[in-house]
Amino acid sequence: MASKTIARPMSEQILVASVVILAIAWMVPLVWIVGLSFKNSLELVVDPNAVFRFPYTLENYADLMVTSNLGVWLRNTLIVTVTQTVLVVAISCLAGYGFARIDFPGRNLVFILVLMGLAIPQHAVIVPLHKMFNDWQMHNTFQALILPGLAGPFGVFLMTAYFRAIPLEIEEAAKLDNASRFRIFWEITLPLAVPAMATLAIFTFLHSWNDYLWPLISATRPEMYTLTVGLAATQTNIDQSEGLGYLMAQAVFAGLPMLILYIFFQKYVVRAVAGAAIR
Amino acid sequence: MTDMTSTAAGMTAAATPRLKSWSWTELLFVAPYLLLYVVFLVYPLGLGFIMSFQYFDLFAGQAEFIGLENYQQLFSDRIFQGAVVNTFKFVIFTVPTFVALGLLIALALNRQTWWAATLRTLFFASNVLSVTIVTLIWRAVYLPQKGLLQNFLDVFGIQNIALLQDPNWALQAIAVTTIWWGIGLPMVLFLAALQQIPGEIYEAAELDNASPWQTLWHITIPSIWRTVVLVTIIQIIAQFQVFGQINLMTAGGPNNSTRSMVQFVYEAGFRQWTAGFASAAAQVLFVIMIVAAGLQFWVSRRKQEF
Amino acid sequence: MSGIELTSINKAFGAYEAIANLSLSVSPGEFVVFLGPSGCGKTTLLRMIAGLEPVSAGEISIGDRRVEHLPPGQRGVAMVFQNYALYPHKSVAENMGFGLRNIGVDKATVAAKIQEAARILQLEALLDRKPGQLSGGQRQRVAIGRAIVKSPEVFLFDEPLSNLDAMLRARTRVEIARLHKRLGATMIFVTHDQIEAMTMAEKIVVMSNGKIEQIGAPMEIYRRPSTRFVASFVGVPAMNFLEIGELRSEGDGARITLGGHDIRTAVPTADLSGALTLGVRPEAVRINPQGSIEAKVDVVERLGEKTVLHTQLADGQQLIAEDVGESRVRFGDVVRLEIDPLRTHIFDGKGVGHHPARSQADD
Repeated sequence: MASKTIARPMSEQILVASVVILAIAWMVPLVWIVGLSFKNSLELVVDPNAVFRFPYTLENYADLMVTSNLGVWLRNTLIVTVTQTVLVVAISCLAGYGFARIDFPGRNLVFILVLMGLAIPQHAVIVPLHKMFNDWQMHNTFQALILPGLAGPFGVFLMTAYFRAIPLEIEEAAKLDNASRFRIFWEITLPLAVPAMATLAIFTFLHSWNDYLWPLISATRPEMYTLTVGLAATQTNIDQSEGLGYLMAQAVFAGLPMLILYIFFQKYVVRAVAGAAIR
Repeated sequence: MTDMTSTAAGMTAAATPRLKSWSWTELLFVAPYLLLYVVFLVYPLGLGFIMSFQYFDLFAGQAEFIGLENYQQLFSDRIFQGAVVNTFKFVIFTVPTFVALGLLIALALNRQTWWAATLRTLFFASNVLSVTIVTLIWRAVYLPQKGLLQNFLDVFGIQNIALLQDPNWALQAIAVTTIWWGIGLPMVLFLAALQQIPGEIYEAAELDNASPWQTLWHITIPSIWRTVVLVTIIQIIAQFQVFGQINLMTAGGPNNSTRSMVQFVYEAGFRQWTAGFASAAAQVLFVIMIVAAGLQFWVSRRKQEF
Repeated sequence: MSGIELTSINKAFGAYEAIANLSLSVSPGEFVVFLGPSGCGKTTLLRMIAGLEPVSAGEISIGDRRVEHLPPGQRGVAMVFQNYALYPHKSVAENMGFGLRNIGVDKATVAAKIQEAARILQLEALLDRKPGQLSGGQRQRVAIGRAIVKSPEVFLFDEPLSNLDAMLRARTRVEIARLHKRLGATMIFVTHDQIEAMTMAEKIVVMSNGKIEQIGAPMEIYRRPSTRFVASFVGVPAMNFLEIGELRSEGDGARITLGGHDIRTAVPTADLSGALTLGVRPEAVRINPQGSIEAKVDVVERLGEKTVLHTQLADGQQLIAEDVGESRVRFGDVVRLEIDPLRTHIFDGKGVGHHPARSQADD
């Protein structure tokens, strides 16, 4: 009763202290590149330690607006990511509802076959996928960037599980209320699935925004690059580059939207990423 | 008696239409997805399998059946063998670290304070960045002469460090980058598991005079053991497919010391344009992935045994 | 207002036959309760009438329409679900209006019907709320309101009171009974609670293992249970069952020897066969210094208006008796009990109930 809190044991203090130190180490690269992005590139060539002292400048960001293709790549990324997200959510909701609620023959077998798709890595089909779009002469189009991303079963898996957890009684009440199947889906069940849709949307957005391998292969013309591929192209000769500050300004500019999104929707982002990992 | 009822049932069914539990139009719910699934996942999977038995000229559009030749060539390919070894090495470098470090951070940050919340946010933040941004950051960190690491080592008088150019260190350097990028996921999975442990168990342990170490080993770890196994498998699956970091930081070099299996597929398929050969390599990768995924399925369905 | 006719209904789930060859007729305007333990098929039967579950064989008619092939919405029935099944994202008014909107009723009529139902159920102040903002009792009333607005031919209730606390349950029972009088509609009410069945039903259908055990008015079921199952399921505390040792005919009833005691019943002996069991409700077992049975009291339950005595006979059989509220009996007392011969039942080897001749049993 002498003290209000029981003293934490020594071992725990050491644990916490080491994690705090680790956190600082985790943050240093980020702080450092943000610092670089505000430095004159020539100054960095002379002395890399210049990052630790004034003057700082916005010229790298100004250059970015004028000289880089970042705007085009950002636009491409937005088109691909937003389209993919909207379509994945829509298609997954429909299919998830179908698998959860429509009692068509062979449903369970088809669903298991779809679930098995969860185990197919993108990398295992990348070569034939490239051939298919090559045959169709569709590389360097938005269709090519968007379509393959719609085939992954995760969204269907997520929405099916969510719809199954919604009490059947509510739909039965709607049946007695003379509602058609689509009306039940649209007006009764779908509004109840908004949390799962949000999780799926965030996961798809993140995944699509950060996708690297497929756009690298399919989008070979710079005007079709997405941000990831564009940034990859500019950093090929970072070792020789004298524009370190400029490159880091690109990284900051490209990373910021995701970080902001993450800060605002942290709970959902974490839930989406963790949920997708566990399945 | 049984015969009579079944006949009656048959007659009723014939006389009046049955109450339908589904209709053909309702298949429109699943049709769009199934179409996409078949065209962009199932079909390519089969096509890849077939291509792995072909010599393939992508530009001429010609294919020639050559049996197991691709596989024979693949298994005797020194670089592919090296890629398999590198991939396993990379998994061994990263996965235990992910599990141990993720658990450590989760244990330290499993509390309701503002600073723990802030640090959780920080550790997960790098997760949302794309691989290109991560490699941009870390290539700058590892940059010879000008990089952050060299800057830091200068203090200790260590000169001329160039990890990514050193065959003995490049893979480890990429592993560190990978851990910086991905530590948030194991951390949140462990945090979720830790929060499932009822507080009463800890109170009971305290009444039983358990030391912090005993509590950790006899209560915390056993309670989250299933998550430990799950995180391990998830990370094995993910790290086995390592590609972006390697392609961007070293492109498989120096001297093939960082070439991974996916990177090998990419090089064979889209640098040398030997699609059949690349498909054969992809099949090997696919088989390994299926085994790992089967393991994950098995573990995640066995709730209590772990 | 329509009656319901079920003819030779069969329901199989795979190889398991949930309901076998069941026929039942419900008169227009009748309040019928399906009573039985969980898994007896009563809810399945209700859902088949609603159209939520297809019949495997048999016919269902509502009014003069065959309906077993019609989807739920076209059967002219409304249902109140166990968990209410309100649409969580719709307001109370929208919940009630949804069914009418779906069949194209014009807005003014819908609004008028909602107002009318809200007035009957005292929901007027809650029309704009969402279900999440309502108490359990209020949700229950909304669920009933959603049924009322449709002016259905038949109301179906699937254990709607099981999620309410005891006080509210008693009150809602009365409200539903009142609603039935007011609307005069045919109502089918499923429950496993025999008090709900006894208090609300005009006709009780007791079910067990997919079969109808007995159909009858509440007091008929209570006084003349046709099987041992019905006798044991209806009544609290449950009916006493005592193994009969010896039985002989005396006058117009059987005289039984039981654990050395002599018990007189008014049950005719003509049709009795097999291993026989005496059934007697606790309220027919009374303390009487001249009683023929001697028993030791091992638990005394004081309920206020009466006292329930759990006693043990010399041969170890249990017998529950009733005494007045102010009973002086205490734990450990040895008491003498008497059984009212006119309120005894004998169940034969097949579990079929035999009762005193009707003229004597009924007043």
